[in-house]
Amino acid sequence: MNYRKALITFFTFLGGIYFFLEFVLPEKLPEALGGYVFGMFHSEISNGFIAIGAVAFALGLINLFYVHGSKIIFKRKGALNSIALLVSLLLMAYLTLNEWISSEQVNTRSADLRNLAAFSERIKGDAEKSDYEGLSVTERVVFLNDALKIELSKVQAVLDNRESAMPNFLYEDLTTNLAVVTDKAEKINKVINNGSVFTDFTILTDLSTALNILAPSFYKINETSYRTSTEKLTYDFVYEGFFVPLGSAMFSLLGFYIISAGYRAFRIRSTESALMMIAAVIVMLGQIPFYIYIWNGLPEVRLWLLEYPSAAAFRAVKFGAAIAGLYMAVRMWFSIESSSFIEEGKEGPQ
Amino acid sequence: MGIEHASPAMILILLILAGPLFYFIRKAIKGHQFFVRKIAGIDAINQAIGRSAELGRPVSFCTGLTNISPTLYAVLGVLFHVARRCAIYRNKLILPQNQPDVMAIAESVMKDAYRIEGRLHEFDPSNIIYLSDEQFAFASGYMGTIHREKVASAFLFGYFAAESLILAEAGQQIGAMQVAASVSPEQVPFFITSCDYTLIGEELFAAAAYLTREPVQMGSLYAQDRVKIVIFGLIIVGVLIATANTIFPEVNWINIDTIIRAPWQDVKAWLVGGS
Repeated sequence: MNYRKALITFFTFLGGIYFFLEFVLPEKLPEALGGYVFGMFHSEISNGFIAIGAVAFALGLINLFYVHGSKIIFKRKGALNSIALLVSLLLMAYLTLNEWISSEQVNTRSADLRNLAAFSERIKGDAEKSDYEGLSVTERVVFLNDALKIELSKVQAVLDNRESAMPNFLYEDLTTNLAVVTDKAEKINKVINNGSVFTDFTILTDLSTALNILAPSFYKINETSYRTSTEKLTYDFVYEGFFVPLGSAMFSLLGFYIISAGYRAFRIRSTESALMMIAAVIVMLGQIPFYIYIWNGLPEVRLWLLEYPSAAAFRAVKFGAAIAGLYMAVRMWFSIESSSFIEEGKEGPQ
Repeated sequence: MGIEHASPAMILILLILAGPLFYFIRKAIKGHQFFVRKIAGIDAINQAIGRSAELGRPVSFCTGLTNISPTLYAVLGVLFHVARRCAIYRNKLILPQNQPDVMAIAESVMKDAYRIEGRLHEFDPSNIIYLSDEQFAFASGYMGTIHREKVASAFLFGYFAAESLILAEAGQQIGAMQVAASVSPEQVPFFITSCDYTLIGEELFAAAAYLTREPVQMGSLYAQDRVKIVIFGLIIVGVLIATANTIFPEVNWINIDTIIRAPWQDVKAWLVGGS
């Protein structure tokens, strides 16, 4: 066994044993065995696997650029389609990135205000602790004051550059809430400018409350602005306007294909095809409201066909496939799967 | 309701199921010949490749929406065989792909097949085409590819969903000989109506063993058939117990599913005689 194969075998077994034990062991081991909760890190491990899977998407991108890029460079047949594909890919990537940045900004802007509210509460909380060893309250309030100035100027900037398309009540809300926070901020500023030691902790609590009220109204205005932004509208235009309808168009093709496939399938060539056609006709007639003009019992026969013979066949297929899948999984887990298509340099089966 | 943790009976069943696998694989490796019934759909794979060689047109092999799973490994066994044949006959083999990670594995398998046949210089990675991970974008890409390439034979192996009929009808329109195999029973009728041959459910898992006669796969195939008989017996017993409980409620036997689902505490209580 070469080094590379041994490594693959080891990691395959390790990955398999974790999920196997996670399934077979009880949620929590008995206290006599340590009471260990095996699935404690399950979400972290699962996220790790998802992250590895996400990296694989780069392979798809590389392939697209390789296959279509070479077609364009060497002017092969279908080069025009390849140009259209790569241009669409790059355009979509650019629009998605732009849209993502805008939506992230909406969250971060209001999150900054919430963080300041939490910091304000923290200063008060730490001051009440006897064992707190860090910057003095006054020094921390100075930092808070500086950060407040920056954040409030951002809110003020939004109010100064009002967008005519935005509902007025959003601005009114923001103005009122901003005024309350500014009032508290000025009080803090006054204490700091006087150079006295900061002792009035009720201002910090009031400031925290006011900031927690201001944050949602700031979020709302940013969110509304984002929804009407060029980035969002362009993205929606391309995705909702082109991509989704194209997918739906493909799906709608199914309707036509079912007719042509049905035409071929329902030709009576043998006893089996005759039985299939009769069953299909009953199911179809039992499904539509016209059955009352033919026979009232049709829906019941249809249901019986679907719930008994058809369901039995479905389950049989699923059973067989599940057992075969299980065996294949065990072979993969123990790396006893045929090495015919993984081992390098070895002659394959004849 | 889904099951998050196995009950003691489930663990026991898993162990019982695993036993025949190792036993029959060992037996096959020692040289025992197992009988596998004739499966027309699998025999048609070689016919389809031959037809393609005669017509001088490409072969397409589509793994559909299959992700990395046991199904994929069953499909790769078939792909390996198809790629080897294509290498021998110098057929162009196209692999339209839906999943990038699957694409990397499929490419490696195809490359190995060409190398084993001594035709590595003829292996062209640009025949492995990543289309899209979006279901219908993939379907439209597949349709376009096989129409442009005018494939003579198309293989649809793996997991498919609503796009199955679109893919199969696209092959039908260009007169390609099609062999399909799906583990999703919902898609089987679509393949039966549009493809020349269809492998149903576990036949997909048997295909690689049938084609290669490789001992590990043959042993596994034989074991799974034996295990199915055991499960069939369990179903019969379960039905009989449930029926007896319904007709004669005073009997009050424990249903098989109750035993299978019983948690550790219940089993302990049964064993030590508690309530």
